[in-house]
Amino acid sequence: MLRQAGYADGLQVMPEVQSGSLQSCSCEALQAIIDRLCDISLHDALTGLVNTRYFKLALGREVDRVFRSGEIALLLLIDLDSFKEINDTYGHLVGDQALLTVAGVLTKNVRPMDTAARCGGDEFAVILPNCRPDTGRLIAERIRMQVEQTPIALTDGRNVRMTTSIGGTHISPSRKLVFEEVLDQADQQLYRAKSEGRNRVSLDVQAPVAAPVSFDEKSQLLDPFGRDSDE
Amino acid sequence: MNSSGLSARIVAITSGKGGVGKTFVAANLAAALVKRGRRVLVLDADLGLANLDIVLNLNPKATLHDALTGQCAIKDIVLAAPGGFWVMPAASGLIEYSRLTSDVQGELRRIIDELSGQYDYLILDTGAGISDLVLFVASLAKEVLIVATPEPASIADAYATIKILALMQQRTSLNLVFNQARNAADGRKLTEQLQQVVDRFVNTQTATAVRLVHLGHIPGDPAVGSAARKRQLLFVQAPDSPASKAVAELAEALDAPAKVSHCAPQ
Repeated sequence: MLRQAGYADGLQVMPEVQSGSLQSCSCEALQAIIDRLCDISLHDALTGLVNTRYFKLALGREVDRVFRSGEIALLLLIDLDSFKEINDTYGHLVGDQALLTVAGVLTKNVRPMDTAARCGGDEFAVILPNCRPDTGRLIAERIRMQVEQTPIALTDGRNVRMTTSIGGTHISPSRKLVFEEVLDQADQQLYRAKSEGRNRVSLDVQAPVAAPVSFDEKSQLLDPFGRDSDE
Repeated sequence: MNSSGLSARIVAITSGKGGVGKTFVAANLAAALVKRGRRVLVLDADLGLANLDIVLNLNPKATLHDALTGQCAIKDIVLAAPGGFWVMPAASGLIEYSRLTSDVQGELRRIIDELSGQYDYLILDTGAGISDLVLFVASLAKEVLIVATPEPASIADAYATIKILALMQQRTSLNLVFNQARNAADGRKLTEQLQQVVDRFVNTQTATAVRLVHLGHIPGDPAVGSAARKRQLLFVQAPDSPASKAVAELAEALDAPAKVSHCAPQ
């Protein structure tokens, strides 16, 4: 069953799994194997970024966190332009190189608290918690520019240039959305970036028309005060 | 700046929560500013549920409503109040002011512009809450003074008001007055606490950080209730009471330009 799943990379470091000798493993060793399998199941084998499964969990959590904390978050969807052409023209190895380049740029440009994911094919996503609207655009533009400025060097000396289209939506506490709606909004912005000519960033306009006070804000406001008045 | 070339400092007094002493602060602060030689007008901007005239025991023949509807000239509505300041009373029970129309907006702007040429201070006493009328009146003032008491509900509402003014009106500085505070240190501590929460949850969303200025505190004082029941102005009736002295200090803090916020909405 595990062998059929095809996680060859991960299984190589677990000879017990490959040889089918799990019965002889200690509890700690089994736990380590389980941890490793979980890890494999949540990461993309090529780029090492988290995969769609992890991304959906993280996005759901972030939507809840925004509503509770009152802090605005940003979701970016990044799409490699003309990925099929790259694959068809230069072959799949160069296609993989292109995906690794985008993953590298994303990893370099996000904070430790952010989540960069490969959502399948040539689609990537980044969740940026507590991200001010003006900073969000800066980060998105930086990602776009760095991919554009990082061509793949072919063995024959040619360079393959790539561009990305980026769509983004702010996750705001003023409107409670489920994560599918957030994803849909970001998708619409991505579509806009593509249809307006690619190699560009399209973010929704964040207008703070309402400023609800979250539970976290209230408790931080009032808890110390309550302790104080008991003194 | 209006046609006369002079321009009053326009200060909106607001609180979020009702019953924390907005009108008390507006009226007594006005009297204290008069004592410092300023010409002051208090405009009752709680258009639907006005009660400045009751607090000051005035009997207005006409109100702001008559000016807004063009039935009276502004000068015929302004009344002299005890304490030497002037009052523009509003009507009570007029449901049409529960919603803000563009007509009312335009008229209020015109009236305030006309008045600002004749006084050193225009104090806009807003209603409670964060309705579009309250927020519009606040937007007409260059400076905002938020009144709160040390009660949790009042602090939470003051915070919500601060957040909205920061995010919607791009305010970068707001004045705070703590009414019924035990002492100055308590008031200052509450302001610091509000500032911490603002730094964490509001200033992370704004281009320019909002700074809260602790303008002062007014201690709990039996003279306040006693003056209110007699419908007299505390600052006139009991000028030596602790609350009156605190109001005088507030006026001094407000009148000393370096200490105060002059943040205009953009």
